[in-house]
Amino acid sequence: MRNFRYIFWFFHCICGLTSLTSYADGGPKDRPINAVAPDTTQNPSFDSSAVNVRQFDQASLDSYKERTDFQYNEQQVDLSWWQRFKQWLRYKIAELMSREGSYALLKNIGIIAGVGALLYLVMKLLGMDAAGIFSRKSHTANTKSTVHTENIHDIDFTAELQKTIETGNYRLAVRLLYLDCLKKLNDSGLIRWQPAKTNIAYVNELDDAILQSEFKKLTRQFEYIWYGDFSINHQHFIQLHAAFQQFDEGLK
Amino acid sequence: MEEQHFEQRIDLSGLTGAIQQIRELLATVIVGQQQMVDLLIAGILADGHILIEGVPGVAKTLSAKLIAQSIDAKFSRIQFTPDLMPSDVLGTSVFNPKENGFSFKPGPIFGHLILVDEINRSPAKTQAALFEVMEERQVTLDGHTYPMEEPFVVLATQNPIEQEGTYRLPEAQLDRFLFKIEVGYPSLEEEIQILAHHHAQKLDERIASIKPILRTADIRNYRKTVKGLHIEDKLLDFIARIVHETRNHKSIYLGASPRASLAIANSAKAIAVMDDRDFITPDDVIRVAPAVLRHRLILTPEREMEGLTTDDVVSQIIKGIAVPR
Repeated sequence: MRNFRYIFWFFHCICGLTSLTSYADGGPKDRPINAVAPDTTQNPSFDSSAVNVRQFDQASLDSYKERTDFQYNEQQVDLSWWQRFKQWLRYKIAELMSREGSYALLKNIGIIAGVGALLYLVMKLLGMDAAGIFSRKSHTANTKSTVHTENIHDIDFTAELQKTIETGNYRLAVRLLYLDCLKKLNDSGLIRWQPAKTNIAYVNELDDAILQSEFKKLTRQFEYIWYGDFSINHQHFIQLHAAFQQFDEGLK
Repeated sequence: MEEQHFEQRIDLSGLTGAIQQIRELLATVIVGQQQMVDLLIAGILADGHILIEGVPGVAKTLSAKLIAQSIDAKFSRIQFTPDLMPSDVLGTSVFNPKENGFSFKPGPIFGHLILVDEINRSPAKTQAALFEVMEERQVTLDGHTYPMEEPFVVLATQNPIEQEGTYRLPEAQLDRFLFKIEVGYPSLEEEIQILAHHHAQKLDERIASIKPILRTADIRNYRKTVKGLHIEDKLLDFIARIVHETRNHKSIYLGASPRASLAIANSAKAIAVMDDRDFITPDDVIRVAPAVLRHRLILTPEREMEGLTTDDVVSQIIKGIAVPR
């Protein structure tokens, strides 16, 4: 388009120059400068040549009409409920925005959104937990025991021990003896029971050297039987039971 | 109380004796650092590679060299530098005019105990050369696969402080190390002892006097022994829960892979052997968990900015899981 404009301007200049040249040469040669042009309005001349009327080719027109490119009538499409809902929503929003004071409302929403985004950014930078803003829990306190564990204070050791001995399950009986021992140590304030503490941690928690040594031996026996899957017969269990009872006596 | 002695189901006498000898030998040269020495031995027994990280001058390289000296095996040292090329590590094919063909010239990686000193001083290209050999124990070059002889252990050292001229190890590379052992400064008493040793000028003599205690065949046999140790289902569950928790913890961006679970189980077995037991306890698991997990976890940027370390998070996770009893 721009090129056409230049071409037109170029021809325009050429024509202008030509007319200027002709004026420079003394103007049109057939008429003197002072001559008056003849009045043609009194005797107008008419073009009397025959008119050749041409018609559009109907077949070509029909073929063009067949083509979808030249069909400009839009067909009405049935809108789905979702499209109708969107249309309605757009209309309502446009109506709301056109009302007086809508600009102020829009401005307030923008400010609220901006403040919210800024707060979120600050929280992310400080590493704050969004859920933790309204609670007093610290991050480290969030790590809770994920393994279901028995509460040693809820076990009836005497009854459970009796049952396991009767069934001859000495391995489980040793486990109950050991848990009962931990409960008694906790009750006497010598250790602090926590499900995540290991047996060695409890051993190291005991200040009394003799008690520690005795408890270490019991722990070793428990570990060989419970974690090492070593078999234990009735005779061995009787000895071990006596050792646990002796240790309990020492705590009193 | 008279303690009942349980008969071991696996004969561990030879292995525990050798471990004790190595510990004593190393203790004559290295003051303190018992935890590092134990993890080095456990790592070798568990068929793993070990990354030792510590500031300069805390006996990282010396420890690795001494461990290598205590084993009668092919030892090679590769000093990782910024201009080191993969072919300098793995080897290359050279033209042999006599035979009118190319022959493979193995690189220093072909050995039993490989000390990769200052591993983070080489760019990713050279570090990536270790991927296949560390995981699959083989080197593939020019269409040929060259298997490594067992034992094959990479002992790598790195300095955590320097930034200039160092390249952070990619996660895939870190995951191939069984342990990342962090070596700290010695205590005051230990430092006095180090000075006394140095003053006595007997350090070189002591180092020279270290004779091999284990042969490669022994290590191969002991590794089989370690693999055969008993592990209770409740302890497998305990290990899995620890690793699983790393994938759900708020402070962790990238958790540990199943390779980490296997690494904990294998190395806990090695630790149990060192305590003369043929079964593992929760204490063994807790002892190795930080060394296995610390380099496999990536903290979220917020926690990292707060100064939290992966060790802190591992400790939190362990404290949150009940010990199976």
